[in-house]
Amino acid sequence: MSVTTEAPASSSVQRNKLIRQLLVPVLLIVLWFAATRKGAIDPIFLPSPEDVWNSFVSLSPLLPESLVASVTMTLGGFIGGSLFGLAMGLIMAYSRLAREIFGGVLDFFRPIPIFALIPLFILWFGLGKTPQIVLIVLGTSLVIGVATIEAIKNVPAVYIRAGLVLGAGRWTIYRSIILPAIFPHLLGAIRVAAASSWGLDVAAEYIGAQVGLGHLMIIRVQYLDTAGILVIVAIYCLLAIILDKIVVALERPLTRWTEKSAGKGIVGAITGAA
Amino acid sequence: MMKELRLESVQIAYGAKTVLEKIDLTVQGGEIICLIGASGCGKSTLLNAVAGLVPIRSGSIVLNDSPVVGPAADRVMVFQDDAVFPWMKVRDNIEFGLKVKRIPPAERQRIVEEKLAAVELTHAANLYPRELSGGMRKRVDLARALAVSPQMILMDEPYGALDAMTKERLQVQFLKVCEETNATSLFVTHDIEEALFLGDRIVVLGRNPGHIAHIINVPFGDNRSIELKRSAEFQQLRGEVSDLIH
Repeated sequence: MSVTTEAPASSSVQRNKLIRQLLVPVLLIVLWFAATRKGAIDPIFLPSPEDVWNSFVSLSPLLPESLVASVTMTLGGFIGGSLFGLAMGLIMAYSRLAREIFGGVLDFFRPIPIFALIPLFILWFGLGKTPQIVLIVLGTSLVIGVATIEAIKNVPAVYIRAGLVLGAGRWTIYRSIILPAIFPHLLGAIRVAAASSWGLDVAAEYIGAQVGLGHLMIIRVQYLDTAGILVIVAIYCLLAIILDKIVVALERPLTRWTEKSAGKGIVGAITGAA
Repeated sequence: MMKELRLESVQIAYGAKTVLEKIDLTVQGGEIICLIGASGCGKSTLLNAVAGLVPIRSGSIVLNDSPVVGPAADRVMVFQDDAVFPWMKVRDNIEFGLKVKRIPPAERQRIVEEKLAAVELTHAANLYPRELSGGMRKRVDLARALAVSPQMILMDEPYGALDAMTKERLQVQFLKVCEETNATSLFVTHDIEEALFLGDRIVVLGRNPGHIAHIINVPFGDNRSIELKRSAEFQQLRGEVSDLIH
């Protein structure tokens, strides 16, 4: 039977794939161990894996509280910012009045690096939660807002014409045609916003956070505790990966209608080659 | 019920450039009129004007005694480009116009099933458009147009991008559907055979600016089958029309 002859072949293909995927990470870890042996490198620059582990253990009592604080802030900012950005993008596309009133202002403010606004935020909103949330919401909503406007411009005109001749009004066209049509094009922007929301959280916690991962990191910096910093960086990295996976999983049912060939290159997906 | 579409001295212009002028044409209910002409003669523009997607400079377009102002579901268009919504299943695409018309759900279901059967796509009702061939997607587009019971079906070179075999099958199906529903259609094409096979009359447009050059009565009556295309009479007429265009 063909199934029994194919099974071992495909499992060896799977194994080879796994080996190739793990090659670079394993190599880096080995290099790390080797480089930090016998004090070859000053631990302030690069502490050994053991130091990092010990630091993790000593930080762990503080972690639950910090995690909760940072995760709620980041998720709240990311979700709020994404919805705000999407709504702004849709309103700007829908209403000429909104475009004329806000368009110029938006073009003026868009290029300002968001982190440069931190001192102003402290002046305006004081220290604490408000400026932190505003920073994350603003940072993510700009990414989503710009992507929404661009995606709407690229909706094929024929879909809108089809909607019009079938009797649909502008509201129906926006809800039933434009919104679903732009969604796959927003996926990239939503993932970028999700990833950058963690960076925004770190920056936000410089604005006088009393608890949180970023706050914890700021303290580690003052003690020149490189191992502790690495622990927190690793935690942020893990959180970012988890959020990315969740975003992709949530979006899948909404973009099922698009064609995708996972794990293949853009050319390979067409030619059928690996 | 569709009585007539009347175009009277219609002029269409983009800025200073006149695209079409002195278009006088009356389409009777149940008629299939094919618009044909060299590219750039404005045949698609004329169709878009009837759809209400392109404004006219002067003259009038009147459907059943009421002037055409803007797009509405009494004149539905089937496009050359792929206009089937890829994020909706076949069934939902056909249902779209019915939802816009606020038809009750049970009635919607009945109409969707009926139109699926009319274009022989009942088996594909729950597939997404990407899972269909180009010809099948055209059938979905036609079914979606038929579902809203339009007064007229406007066909904008719908089969232009299809292979010859698929095209013939869809032409036969289009005739059958039109006959069953007594549909009225304006059908733009650049394919003389298609125009002769489908049309009760053929309107030949000339260029610079676009105008009606000839109107040909097609003598083949109803109940046309694909064999008609192979007949000597058909081929001779085809030659004559070809001479008129070039």
